[in-house]
Amino acid sequence: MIPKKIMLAGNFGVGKTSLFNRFIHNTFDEAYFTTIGVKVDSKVVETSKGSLKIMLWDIAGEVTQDKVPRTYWLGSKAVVYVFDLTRPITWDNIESDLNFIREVLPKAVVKLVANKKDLVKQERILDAEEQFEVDIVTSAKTKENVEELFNGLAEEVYSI
Amino acid sequence: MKKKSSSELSDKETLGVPVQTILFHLTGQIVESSGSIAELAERIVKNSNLFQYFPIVENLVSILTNDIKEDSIEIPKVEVRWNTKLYRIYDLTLERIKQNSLVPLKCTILDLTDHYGKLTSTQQERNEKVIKEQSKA
Repeated sequence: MIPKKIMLAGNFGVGKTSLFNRFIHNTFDEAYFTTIGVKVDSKVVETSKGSLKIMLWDIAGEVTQDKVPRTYWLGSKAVVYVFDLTRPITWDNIESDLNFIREVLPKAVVKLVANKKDLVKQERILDAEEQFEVDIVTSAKTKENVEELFNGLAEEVYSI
Repeated sequence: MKKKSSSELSDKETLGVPVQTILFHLTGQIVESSGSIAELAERIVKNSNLFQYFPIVENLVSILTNDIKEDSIEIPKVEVRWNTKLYRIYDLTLERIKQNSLVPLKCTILDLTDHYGKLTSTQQERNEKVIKEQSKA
């Protein structure tokens, strides 16, 4: 089974590691622990075309994605760009970051994810959706849409 | 504060850093392993599978084989939690040895946990403070 690499990117503290832990281990920790470099783990998911091994890369959050070590991007079939609904400052670089990612990985699937849905009111979500083309709104804490995000990505990257 | 990765460190700085060198097949099967990283020496032995301990290596083999032209990849700051007490940060280099070689791949692992350790605590404190301030805004 050929592994497909998916990266979690975005500012620090937006919940990348929480999404990683929820999807890979089905766990959630309220405490914040910084990521220094990269954590990698795998999970086999079933798609309509067959089984797929997702290799999920959880990288250290950076205010801008051009600071991520270049070798981390190599071979990525998809990038999940996460922002924090509770901290609008993490929305500031979304457009430039997405442009950078599309330049580095022109063939990769890129998803914009609004995380920490459980901590905000509906108005905040609508505000984000008005400003950006949000692909999915998630909560690593309540599990909402986490499986949907990665299972959907598995379908998309299967043939890439 | 940016900490240098292993390729940016001088010979003097890497002197004494625990290192492990592993020769293995495309399937992850280990042919030979030698070095001074204690937690690897006890786990990574001949005929065991490197991918079991380092899922990242399975992915890097695929990338080296299918996605890039280069013969090696260096990935700095790979975080591994072996158990609740044992947490390590490694710099990892994967190299294609040469075509037609019986053992096609070499993985070199440097244990830079001490080198990156101060950065971890500084970054944790800084990020916590910033997140708290930004959440209030």
